[in-house]
Amino acid sequence: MLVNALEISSAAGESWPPLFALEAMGTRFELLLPALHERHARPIAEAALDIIREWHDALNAFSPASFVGRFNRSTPGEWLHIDNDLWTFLRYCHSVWTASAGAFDPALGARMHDLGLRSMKPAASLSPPAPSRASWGFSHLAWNPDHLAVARTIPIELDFGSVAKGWAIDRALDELKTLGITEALIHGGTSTVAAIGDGPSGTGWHVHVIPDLDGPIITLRNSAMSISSPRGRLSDHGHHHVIDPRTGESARCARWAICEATSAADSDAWSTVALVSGCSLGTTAQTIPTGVSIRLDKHEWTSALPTQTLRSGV
Amino acid sequence: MDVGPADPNFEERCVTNSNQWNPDRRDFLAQAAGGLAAMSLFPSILPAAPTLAAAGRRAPLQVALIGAGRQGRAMLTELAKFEAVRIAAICDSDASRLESGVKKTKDATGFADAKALLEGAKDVEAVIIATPTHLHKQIALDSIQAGKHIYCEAPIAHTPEDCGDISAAAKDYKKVFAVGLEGRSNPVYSLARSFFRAGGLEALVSLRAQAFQKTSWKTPASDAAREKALNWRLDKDVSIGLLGEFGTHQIDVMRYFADSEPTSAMGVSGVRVYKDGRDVADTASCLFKMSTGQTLSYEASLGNSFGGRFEVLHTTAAAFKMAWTHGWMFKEADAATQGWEVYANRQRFHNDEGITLIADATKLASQGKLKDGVGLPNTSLYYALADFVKSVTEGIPVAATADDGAKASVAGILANRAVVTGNSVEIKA
Repeated sequence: MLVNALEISSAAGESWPPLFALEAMGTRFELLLPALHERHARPIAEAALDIIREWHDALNAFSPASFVGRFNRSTPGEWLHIDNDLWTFLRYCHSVWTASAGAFDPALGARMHDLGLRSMKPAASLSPPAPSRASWGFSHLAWNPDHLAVARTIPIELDFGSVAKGWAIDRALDELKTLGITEALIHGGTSTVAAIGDGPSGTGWHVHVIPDLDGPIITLRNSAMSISSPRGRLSDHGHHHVIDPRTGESARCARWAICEATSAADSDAWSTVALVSGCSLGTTAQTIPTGVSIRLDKHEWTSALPTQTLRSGV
Repeated sequence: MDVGPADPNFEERCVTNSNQWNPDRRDFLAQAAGGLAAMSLFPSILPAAPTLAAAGRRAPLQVALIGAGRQGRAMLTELAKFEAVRIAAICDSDASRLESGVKKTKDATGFADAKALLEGAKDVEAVIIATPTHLHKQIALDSIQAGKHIYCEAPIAHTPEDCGDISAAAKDYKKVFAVGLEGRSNPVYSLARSFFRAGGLEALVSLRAQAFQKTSWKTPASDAAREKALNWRLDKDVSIGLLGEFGTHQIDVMRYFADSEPTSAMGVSGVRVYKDGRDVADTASCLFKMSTGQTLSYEASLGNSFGGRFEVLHTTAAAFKMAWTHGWMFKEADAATQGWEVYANRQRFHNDEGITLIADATKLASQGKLKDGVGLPNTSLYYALADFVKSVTEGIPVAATADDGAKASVAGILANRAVVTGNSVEIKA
């Protein structure tokens, strides 16, 4: 994505607008606070990025101390007690899972592992096991609202890769707004970006999405957008990372889906739903929330397309 | 037989329970040769979480958190994992933090004032003090007056006098008074300590520690009036600087490992990075003399994160590096070789190779999951809070006492004075 802040930066000198960064969730988050001098912006940015770090600590599938790490190694039926922030997040995921008729499913970790999409070195010599609904699915998450506890009923594994960045960005935006910030842009790995205010030029924050595939320019004003695409690293078996929860295989899908929404969590989650659902999006049992708009590329993705990561200009 | 770090008789039981174990034998590591003998001394070093069943209680412990800043929030996350705990009340004088803290719980009651909490929340059995350091003393004394079990974050106070007052008040206190010196509850540290002490304390050569992170230490406030209160760490009237806030924890690790007290400190500090008008240093170096003759070299900075926070103990046979969630042993070439090393997980650090210290290694090795055990399955804070809860509900001994807290805090406070003035400062417990 290319954001107009780049031009502002080069026009106004290296130190403005202040840009702050954090490595988290396997990617890089960047935050622009254009209305502030660096000295004033730094503590505010640190407070916002700290919130993202907290969510990284909770949702990182590769950390044994994270909630996801604990959950994924828990004994089926073992209740894990959690705080209300995490409970609220999980209930949000449940609401999207329900509204999307299962096209959004954060309990695909075990299947992604089977497909060689969770390891840096997938077992190239082994074919992935045939899909079995006994190894994934958010329906196998049990809830205990009286004690704020959850359990897995079978050995599913959670992976919040399709929503965690957006959720964390929303919480960081909450913090920024609490601190009185009226202009900010934040992105996570350039796949989810959210803005406060109208941008430095007053015409909104203009984001050019995957220009090499003729993606659109999107203007953000107190809103968020995400892009989902099968592009990126393929497993040794040729699977891409967008898994269709209905089949357990990589989804046959468009080259990209873009979702705009008032919250980054919504845009993050529903861009994945769009890619997985394809032409059936919004039909059948799906209920797209108010304020969520989706664009699907007209071209179907093929593995012949280049597999480099999405272009970043922020 | 399970042995664990929270067990007061840990070493004694090891001595009597196994012919393979003798902390005084310098050749312990050599004698541990043969399969997984050394690791089998630690069948389950990871302590269990506090549970209602283990506590023999039907209702969870009613806990109040006083101070809902960054550390307080982290505590709420960890406490929520314990079925034996209910957060009944939260206190913070900052409305935004209080709201955020209360929201993190199921049904805690919010208080803006600690005294009001101690008087109003009658069902609260234990309090956790996570306020700015200079506010600990009064809250700790009031909590003692109110008869609560107490977990006080370290450093326990900002002056040696206040540390002494807290320690004295806690001395004959009939309820639990624990201090948040997390190294004493950390299973990786317990494991490293057992290996370290097996080599004999006389083998210790030197000590080194650092705390590096990239952060301004400045807290933004939505309300200008709150700016000064929230930025207490940058207020030279009450701040005890990097040596006090970070150093206290790491000095205690050295005390815990080596039974050695700092006796003097000298060093330098300054504002190297954040030229925003602050007069509390963002970078400091300090050299401690220890009561056992070695030196502890310590560095801290807010301007760079390389290496993060760790402690290293150099002995004639090995170096032990502890980094809170991870620990490694780097053996000298002439140190005895043990059979179990064949199975050990290793990590390369430039020219050195570290043997990863893994809690529950035997169990994981038997399951072929040794690599999965790299890194603690919970945060260091989790284990410290678990120990506190179990001290209250199960009666296990306190991991870090008020006396430990006072000694480590005084060393940190006086070391800060040394690096601020540039003078050598004598440290007396």
